[in-house]
Amino acid sequence: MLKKSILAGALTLATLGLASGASALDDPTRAPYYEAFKGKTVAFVPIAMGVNITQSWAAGIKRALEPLGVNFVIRDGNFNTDATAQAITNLIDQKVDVMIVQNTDVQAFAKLYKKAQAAGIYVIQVGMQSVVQTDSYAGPDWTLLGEKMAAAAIKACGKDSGKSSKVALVQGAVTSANGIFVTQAIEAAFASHPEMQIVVNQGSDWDPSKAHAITATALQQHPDLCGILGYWEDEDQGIVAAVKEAGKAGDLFVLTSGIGEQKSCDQVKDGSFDLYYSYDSRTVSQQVVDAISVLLQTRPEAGSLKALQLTSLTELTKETVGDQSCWRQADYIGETLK
Amino acid sequence: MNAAINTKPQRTERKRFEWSQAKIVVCLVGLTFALFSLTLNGFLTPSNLITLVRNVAVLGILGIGMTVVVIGRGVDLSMVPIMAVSIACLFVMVSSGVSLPLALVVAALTALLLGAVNGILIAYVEIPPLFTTLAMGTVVLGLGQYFVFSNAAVPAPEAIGWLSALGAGQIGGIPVSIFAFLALAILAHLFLKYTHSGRYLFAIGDNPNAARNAGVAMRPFIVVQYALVALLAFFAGIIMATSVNEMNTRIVYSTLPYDIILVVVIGGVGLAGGKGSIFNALVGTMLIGILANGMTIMDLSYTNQKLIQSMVLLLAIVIDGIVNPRDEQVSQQGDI
Repeated sequence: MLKKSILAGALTLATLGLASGASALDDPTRAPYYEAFKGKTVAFVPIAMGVNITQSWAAGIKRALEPLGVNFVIRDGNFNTDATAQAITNLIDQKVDVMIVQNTDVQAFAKLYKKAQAAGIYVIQVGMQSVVQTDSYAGPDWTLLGEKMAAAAIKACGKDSGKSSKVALVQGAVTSANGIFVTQAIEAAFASHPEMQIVVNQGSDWDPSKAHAITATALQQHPDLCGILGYWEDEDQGIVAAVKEAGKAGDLFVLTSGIGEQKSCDQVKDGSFDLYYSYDSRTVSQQVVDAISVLLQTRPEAGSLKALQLTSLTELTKETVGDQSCWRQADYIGETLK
Repeated sequence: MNAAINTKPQRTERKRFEWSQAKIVVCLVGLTFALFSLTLNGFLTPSNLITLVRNVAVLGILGIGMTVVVIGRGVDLSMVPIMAVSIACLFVMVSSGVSLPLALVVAALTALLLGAVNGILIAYVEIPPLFTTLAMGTVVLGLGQYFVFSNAAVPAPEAIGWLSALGAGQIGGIPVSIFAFLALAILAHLFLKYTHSGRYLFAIGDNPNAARNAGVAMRPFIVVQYALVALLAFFAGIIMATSVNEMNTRIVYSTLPYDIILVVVIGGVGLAGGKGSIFNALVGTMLIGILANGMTIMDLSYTNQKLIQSMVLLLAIVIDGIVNPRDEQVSQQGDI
C-alpha cells in the first residue's frame, strides 16, 4: 500500500514537472478558438421570453458565450409573428454573426432565413424546426418523440394490456413542428396497430385551461378512455387537473414531454404523469452553443453546413426519475438573465 | 331644427314581436343544442352538460363583467391582464410565506386599484375606454412581468389550501365554479335591474350627458364601475388558476380577451351602450360553450372548429344586421 502511494506520488510529481517544463510551449489551438468568438454578436429570437423553455435556453447559451467575449442579445417575439419577423429583419440589417430562432410554425420565416444566410449570417433553429433547413437545428426529433409516445401508448393501452385502446391526443399548436411531426408519427405507428383508436385529437394552443376543457369533455364522452398523450408539460397541467377532478388519477395512462424542469419530475414521482420524455434544456442550450462554436471556428459559407443537433430524449418514470433528472429554475436560470 | 328633421311618424305601438339579436342567438343556441342532442351520443347527459357549463364558467364570469361595462358605454380590454397579474401576485405572495387571507386582500386591492386607474383615465382624463384599457392591459402585464413574475406560468402554491376548492372543488357532484358563475350572474342581474346604480348605468350608457344633467355623479361612478369589474376579473382568475394549479399568464396573448367581447356582442348587448342584460351574456356564453363541447365530442380538427365557430358567429351578426337595420341614432353614435 505504502509502495503504491509512493509510486503515485512520484508519478504526480513527474507529471507536474513535465507540465511546468512544457509551459514554454505555446498551445497553438487556444488563440484561434478565443479569437473566433471575440466581439461576435449572437442574437436569440424566441417565440416569447418569460416561458420556462426560452428562459432556460437563453440562460444556458448566455452563460456559455458571454465569458468568451460574445455579445448575446435577445429579441423577444412576444407571441407576435409579425414582431418576430420584424426583429429578424432588423437583425439582418444589423449584420449580427449568428441568429438563433425558435419557429412558431413549420412554414415560419423561410424567406427571412434565406435572406439572413445570403447576408452571411448563420441561422440556428432551436426547439421547433421549420421545413426550411438552415445552418443548424438544435432540439428534439419530434418524429422520434411521436414514435416513442405511440410505442408507450401501445404498450399501456394496446391489445395485450386488457384496456380499451382508446387514447386522446391533447396537442399544443397544431401548426407547429411539435404538433405536426408528433401527431404524424403517432398516427403512422397506430396504423400497424389497428386496435389503437385516437378518439380525441384536439389543439389547446398551449393553454392549460383549454387542455383541461378538452380532457374533461373527453373523459365524459369516453369513460373507458385508456390514455392521454399530452404535448407539453405546462399545458398538460390542465390534463392532470381534469383527470384528478374526474376521480381517475392513477387509472389512466398520462404521458407528457418537456424540458426537464423539476416540477415535471415531481409530478412523475407523485404519479400525475406515468411517463415523461425530457428533451433537457441543459442539453439543448449546450447543443446550440456547440453549433455556434463549430460555425464560428470553421467559418463555412452561411447556409452551407446544414448540420442537425438532435437532442436525446430521456424517458422518465416513477422508477427511473432521480435527483439529477431535472433542473430547478433557481439553479439553472437564477439571475443569469437579469 | 330638430323637429324639421324628425319627420318620421312616432311609433307608439311596439308590442308586436321583434327579432332582436338576443332572440336570434337564443334560437341558435336552441337549434345547436337540439341538433347535438339528437346526433351526438353522450351530449345530452347530465354529466356532459355539467362539463359543458364548467368549461365556460370563467368565460361567462368575465362576460358578465364586460356586459356591465358595455352597458355603460365602455369596453374593458384589460380584464384578462388584470386577472393574470393579480392572481400571479396572489400566488407569489403566498409562495413567499404571506398568509392566505392577507395575500387575498392585497391581491384583490391590487386588482381594484388597477381597475380604478382605468376608471380615472376614462372618467377624468377622458381617454376613450378602448384605448385606455388596451394600453392599461399592456402596462399591467409589463409591470407584472417586471416586478412579480419572470416565468409566464406561475404555479399555485400548496398553501392556497381551501381556495383551490373554487376551481377544483365540487358540491354534490357539481363543480363549485358553476355555482360561482350562477351566483355572480344572479348578483349582477339584481344589480342591473333593482338598484339605483344599475339604472344609472343604463342611463349613462344611453346618453351620458343627459344622465349627468339628471344628477348622476358620472365620473366617480365610472371609476367604481371599472374597479369592480377588475375585482370580478380577479375572482374569475382564482377559478381559472386553481382549476389547473397555475396561473398561465400567456392567456393574455390568447383569444380570450376577444372571446369575452364576442360573448357579449353575440348575446346581443349593444356596443353603443345602454342596452342589454346579463341574460345576453349567458346566452352568448352558452352558444360558445355548446359549440366547443359538441365539436370536441365530434373531434373536429382545430381548423374546422375555428371555421365553424366563426361562421356561426358571423351568421348571428348577419341575421341581426338584416332584421335590425342600423337606424339613425346608431349611426350617429357609431358602433365599435
